[in-house]
Amino acid sequence: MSGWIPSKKSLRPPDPAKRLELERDIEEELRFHLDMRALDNQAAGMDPTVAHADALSRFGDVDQVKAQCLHIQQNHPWHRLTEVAHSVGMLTLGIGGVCVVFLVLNAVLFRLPLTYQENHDWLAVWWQHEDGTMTSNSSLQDFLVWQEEQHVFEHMTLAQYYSVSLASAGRIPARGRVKQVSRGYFAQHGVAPVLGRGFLPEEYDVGAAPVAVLSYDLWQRRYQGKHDVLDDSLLINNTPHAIVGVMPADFQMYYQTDAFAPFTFAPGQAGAERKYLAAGRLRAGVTQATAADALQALHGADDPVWRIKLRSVQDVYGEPVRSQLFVYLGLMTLLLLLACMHVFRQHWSRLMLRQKSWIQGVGTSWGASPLLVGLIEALLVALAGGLLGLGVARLMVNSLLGPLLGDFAHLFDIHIDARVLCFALSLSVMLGLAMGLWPFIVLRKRTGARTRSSSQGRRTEGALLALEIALALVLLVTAGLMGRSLLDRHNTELGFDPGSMLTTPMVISGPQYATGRTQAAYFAEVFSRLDTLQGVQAASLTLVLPGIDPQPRVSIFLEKQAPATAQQAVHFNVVGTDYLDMMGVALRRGRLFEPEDAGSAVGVTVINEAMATHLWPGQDPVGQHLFLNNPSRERVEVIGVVGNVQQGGWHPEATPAMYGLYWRVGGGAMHLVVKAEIDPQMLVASIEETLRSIDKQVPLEPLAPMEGILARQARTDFLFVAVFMVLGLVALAMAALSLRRSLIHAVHLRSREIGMRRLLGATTYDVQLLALRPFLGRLAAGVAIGLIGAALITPFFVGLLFEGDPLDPVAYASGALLLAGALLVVACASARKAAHLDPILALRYG
Amino acid sequence: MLQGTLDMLILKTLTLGPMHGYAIVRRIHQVTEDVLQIEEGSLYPALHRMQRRGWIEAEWGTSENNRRAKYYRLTSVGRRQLQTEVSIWERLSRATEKVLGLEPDGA
Repeated sequence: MSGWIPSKKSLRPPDPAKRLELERDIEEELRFHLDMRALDNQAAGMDPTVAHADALSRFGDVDQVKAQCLHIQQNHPWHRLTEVAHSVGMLTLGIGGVCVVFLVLNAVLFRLPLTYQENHDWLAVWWQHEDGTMTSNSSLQDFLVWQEEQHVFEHMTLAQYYSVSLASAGRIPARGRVKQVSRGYFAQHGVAPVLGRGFLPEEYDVGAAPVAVLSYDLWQRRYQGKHDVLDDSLLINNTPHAIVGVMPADFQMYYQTDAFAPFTFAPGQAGAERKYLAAGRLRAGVTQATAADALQALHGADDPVWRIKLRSVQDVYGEPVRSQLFVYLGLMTLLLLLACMHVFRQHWSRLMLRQKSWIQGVGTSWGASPLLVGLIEALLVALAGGLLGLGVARLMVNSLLGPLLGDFAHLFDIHIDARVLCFALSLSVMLGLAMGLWPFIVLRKRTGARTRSSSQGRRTEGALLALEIALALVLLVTAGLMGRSLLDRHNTELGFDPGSMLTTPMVISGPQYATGRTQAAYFAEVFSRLDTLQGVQAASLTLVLPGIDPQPRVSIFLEKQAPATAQQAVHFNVVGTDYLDMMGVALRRGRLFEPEDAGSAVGVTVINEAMATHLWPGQDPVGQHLFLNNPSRERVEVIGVVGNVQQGGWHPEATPAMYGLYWRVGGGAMHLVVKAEIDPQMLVASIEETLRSIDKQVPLEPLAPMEGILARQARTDFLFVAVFMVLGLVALAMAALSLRRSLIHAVHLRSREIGMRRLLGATTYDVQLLALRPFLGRLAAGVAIGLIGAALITPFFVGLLFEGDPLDPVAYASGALLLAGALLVVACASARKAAHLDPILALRYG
Repeated sequence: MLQGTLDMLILKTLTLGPMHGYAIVRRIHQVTEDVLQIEEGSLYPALHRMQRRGWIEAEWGTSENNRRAKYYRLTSVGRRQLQTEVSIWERLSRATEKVLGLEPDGA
């Protein structure tokens, strides 16, 4: 018996067999009443016919009473509530997913950091290499020419980031990033310091007393936002810089920046080395293309390799993530579509049931008003889903910022503004109107042509179901491709052994480490001390940690006199002498670096197998020469070939890479790598103490086990893929639920036919097949559309979501099999119920 | 009949024990000596609604003339509901009597 709180059964979709039983019970109960009244009437002396007529007259409209009782039993408020909650939940999921991405897109496209809000005509100079790659690095030589001779910008500025050791009086130094800026930098951005001032013209002169302007973040972190910070100084690379100002919190740079310093240079320093960021504000009336041509002409219009491209800050910030964000938006829109179809189909089924009741004349109250109620209900459900979705999106967005924006996450202030609110509300209203109005229009039309439109309604529902299945498959295949890509990466040999390794980034700079020789001396001292430390097996250096960070690229030539167009880009890493051996990188041919290589007359390099195959297929690369793309085209000899080492990012395929020796190439920002003979954690304190004892001014970051760093990276990658896996499974669950409801609904509509067939001798197997047949067609159509859709869509995701073949048959087949298998099980289970309908009940009440 | 009165009459009738719908109608007519004439059909939506609310429970059984009939029985929730409705009714009727001067103030 049913109480006020329903059992789990009452929350399930209406079962045709149960509905028939309910109708039978109600009719039997009313019939009993009428018969008892007629009997009493007869006992009181009435004629049987009159007695029956009197019973009917006392009772009232039997059909209406029956319909009211049925309505009460089937429309339990709790049941309706769960139906509405189900719809709201689906839309919350769909709209929430879209809103998460829109929140980020809104920030990236429209909410620039304060630094650039008023600077739409602020353009950065970028260079496009003929191979399509872009770089923002200009040379000082070019900049000085532009500054003197260009007429397309109001003013041009130059900036340079560099990693430094930062310290305030009496504090342990830490690693930081300083941006050196040329004259007029702050003024050109139209942003004034919140405290103090910017740089005075004389502070840009060579030999001027060093000064610094702090970022808001550093001011808060290191000086607790105290106003007397202007009396203090900041040690940048052990050189005191007087603090003259603090920039506002929103003055965010492309890379997180701790402080700004004036860019100073001696006239003789103006070389061709490309390492500076040039930018400027366009003069009124000058187009981007004209300005680019003007700068190109000053640089050398005939440069066949590098072409100047001017990019706005929106291009610079937005471009790396925009396409990725649109891919996410597309995927989330698919999920929203699926959720909408699910809710829409549920709404539609309810109206169709009402339609059936209305056609049978069971109820007399169905007219326009239930449809109007349906429209209001759809609008309210969509609005509730939209607002809840927006709330969920706001809660989720911060945890997804990292995967969505990567290094740019710090630049953007993500919050719900009027644009986001309008987007969510208009999306909700549109969905609500679409869901509410369409059935309204179709069902109103139907009054004149009930039979024809009934089959049309079934076709509409069938098409919706097939589309739901197709959308679910597209999401499943995408998740499968991402999973495959992750698995490929997991299965790819690391190419090195991270066991027992500790690592820490090290930045040594400042007056005492101004030259490569003094830097090398520092590291030589580090290694000599670490060698004597008990438990340390070996120690070395690397510019880039393997398996985590992508390696930088350099251009090389195979011949000294080769034209600029013949250059090739390969990945590059700078390592210590013992690094490759210590990391367990396999030597395939030749030899590894040796201490004598540091002082040899000819530069040497070790290359990976991918580079050997790429540049010297079928030949022995050892002894071959290549030329670096520097002014002297330095010749470098290949001394050995090592196995491929996995890099960071979604690139399981090995790419050509070469190693340079630190003692020849140099570099102030390296990673120290220590291999331990004992538990590495036990060595952390003694290594840190050793490093401090050499020079306590060198900033020291905590030593971390390499395996832990790799595991953290793997976890982040897995979580990212898991989000899409969950989306795929949610889509599958939605499709399965829709199929079940749709099948039960179809059986209910055909209950009379099923009853008739059973009476004429059809077996339960025949009835199951009868119920299943139309759905098999829809399932097949859905799977086919889904496969085609996935094949059309997923090629756009390559490189953005995963690497590898977008038509990977394993991902497609497993997605299709999982979907079809799960849906078939659900369909068969639902069809079994149809087979057990009582034929008499089906015929009488169906 | 006032809104809610039918529910109260049904609940009160069922305090006598389980009954089918027709017996409930007959009992109400007997007790009220046919003063309260209700359209008999209206009893059933009320019964089903009260069943949904958990005030009464239903069970199929055999009637006095050996036919299958649905018997309704009061639940504890229904008993509490009856007490509530009776107290409301009493307050309402006392107030009405006062207005009509049928009961002196302070009686």
